[in-house]
Amino acid sequence: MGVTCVSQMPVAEGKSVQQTVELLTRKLEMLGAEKQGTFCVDCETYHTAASTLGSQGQTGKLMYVMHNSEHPLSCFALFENGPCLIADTNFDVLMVKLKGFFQSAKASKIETRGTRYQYCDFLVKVGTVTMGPSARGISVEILWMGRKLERTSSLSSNFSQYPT
Amino acid sequence: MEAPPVTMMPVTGGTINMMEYLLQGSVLDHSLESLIHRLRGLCDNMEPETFLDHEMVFLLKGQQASPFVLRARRSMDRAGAPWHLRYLGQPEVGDKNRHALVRNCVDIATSENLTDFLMEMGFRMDHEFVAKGHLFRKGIMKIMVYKIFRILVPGSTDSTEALSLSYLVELSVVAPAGQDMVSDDMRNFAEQLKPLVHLEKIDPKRLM
Repeated sequence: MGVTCVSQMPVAEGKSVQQTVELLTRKLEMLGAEKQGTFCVDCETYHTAASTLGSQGQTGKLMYVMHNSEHPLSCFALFENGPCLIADTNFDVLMVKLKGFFQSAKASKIETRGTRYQYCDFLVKVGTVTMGPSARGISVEILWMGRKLERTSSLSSNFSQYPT
Repeated sequence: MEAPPVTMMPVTGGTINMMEYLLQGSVLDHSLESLIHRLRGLCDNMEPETFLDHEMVFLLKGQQASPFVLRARRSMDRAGAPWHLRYLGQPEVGDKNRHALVRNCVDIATSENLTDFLMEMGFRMDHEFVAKGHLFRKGIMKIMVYKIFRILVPGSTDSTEALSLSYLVELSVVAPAGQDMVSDDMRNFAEQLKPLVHLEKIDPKRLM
């Protein structure tokens, strides 16, 4: 457990998404962070099928089903401004059974995938956000594991400037 | 053309189809101790577990003729245990010589906000009950001997009333699709419980 911050990182001027990710990861390595494998977070969107709406008289809702490689046996399902259910991965099998009631917009599956770095008691994950084949942006997740308080300098301010 | 039954399709879309094989029977209250005594002797050498569960059955109505049914179950005597969400398919119409009822099942462990989440999905609770009894195991077979209690005040498990003067006995196995020899093992075990209890394949549709 700890404190997590997830933010979107702007793409550097005149650079592609891939190049900006490389700049960020190089900067982390220069700071002394150790590479520790990869991570992936994905999100699928389901919407209530029209047939269900008619019988219930309610407006369509969007349900998001997410997976996080940090929790490989779990699945997270949530409604915007609604409850978030934590379940095991059999929930995905249930969604297949529910396809008559909840339809997945396959084209809208979004994922962020990249490398994990350990820096003191911070875990930093820099990911490329993709929707299908196209890269849409960069996500950075910083988890402070809260064991040591040796350095309290803001990590995120180090990323706001790129090396010349 | 109809899709082949799930029992013939062990893997669908990358996930293994799990099937529940089920035999059911019942014993009157005064015969419970004899049955428990026999099960203690036949089953795996462990302290028989007791359980007290609250089950809620939710329906999602669509334009299809039959609603989608999900069962949400929580333990009332084990704090911190995850909730159990279960989907059970229609009984497979197959070989008449198959000794047990077979239906597709999906079991999911969830966090405790399950009922709120199901309501948000559009499910509505159809009925609920409390189940109290004993649990035994013999290899992969699970034997439950339990009494069903009707809940008198919706939402409150404090006041309940026994539904009958008997205990429901269920012998079940959850195994991947296509393993019909499981039902032979179940029949052989059920033979050892006679004449205390007669476990049979009971088709729920025939009760309606």
